[in-house]
Amino acid sequence: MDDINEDPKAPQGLIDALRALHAGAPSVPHEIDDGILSAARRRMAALRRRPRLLRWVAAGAVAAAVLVAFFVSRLNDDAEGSPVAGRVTILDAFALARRIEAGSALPADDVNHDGRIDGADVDHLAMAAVALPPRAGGGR
Amino acid sequence: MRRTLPIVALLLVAAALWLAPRATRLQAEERAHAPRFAAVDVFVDAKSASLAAWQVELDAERKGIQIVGVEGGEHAAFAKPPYYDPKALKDDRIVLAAFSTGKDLPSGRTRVARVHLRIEDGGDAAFAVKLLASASMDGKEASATVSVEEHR
Repeated sequence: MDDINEDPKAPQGLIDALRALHAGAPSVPHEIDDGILSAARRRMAALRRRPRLLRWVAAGAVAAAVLVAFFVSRLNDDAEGSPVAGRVTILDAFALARRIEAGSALPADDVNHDGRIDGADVDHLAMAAVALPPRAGGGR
Repeated sequence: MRRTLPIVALLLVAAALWLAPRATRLQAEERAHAPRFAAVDVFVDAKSASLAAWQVELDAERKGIQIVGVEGGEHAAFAKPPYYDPKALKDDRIVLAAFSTGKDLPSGRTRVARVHLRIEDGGDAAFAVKLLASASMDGKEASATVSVEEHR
């Protein structure tokens, strides 16, 4: 019974041999240590630079978007500057009426597609000219 | 009793004198703010050119102005009511346009239309007006100007 409770003991020779294995830890030369440290610092600096670079890229993209929006709005303003740019005006109806009177109407002048070129086409254009455009800015 | 009667009469006269101008002023204010019907005349000045076609946009400059009707102008060429979108009636803006292929055309400043209005607060008929197009007899663009005036 006593033999079971006793701690097993390794032979002293084995203990000494194991200790001898870790006794002489290899010494790292100072140059290698410095090299590893400076490499690590370079890597960390690169990592720190990357978000800064990303921030500059993002800021540049925002600035470019603002510039594009500005120029597009200027283009639209120019279109609005001409009060009826791209719209039918009474001058179109007037021109058609003159062509009908002169007998020089074209097949394309049948703007209401009823197979005839007459006053109804003129009225069609005139009514398109006076149709209330949507209010700029969405309303009073 | 004999003494009090003249005093009461004097007080009544004083009260009447005090109240009368106030009542008149209140009535005038009520009249000024009451809804009223009005009309604005639209003039196009084509200067020396003969005006054959025109298109204008009128936009009320404040709330409470409602367009209720449109009639033609003073010259025979534009005596008929101009073209307009019926949706503009009961709105506060309108696009008006007309043309004439006749030979007898107005030049200089001419009334081309009259727009009838209902003004809710009885104030002025304030409109911004814009000339969208104008042409002379040959169909070429005329250098014209547009103006509106309240018809009195």
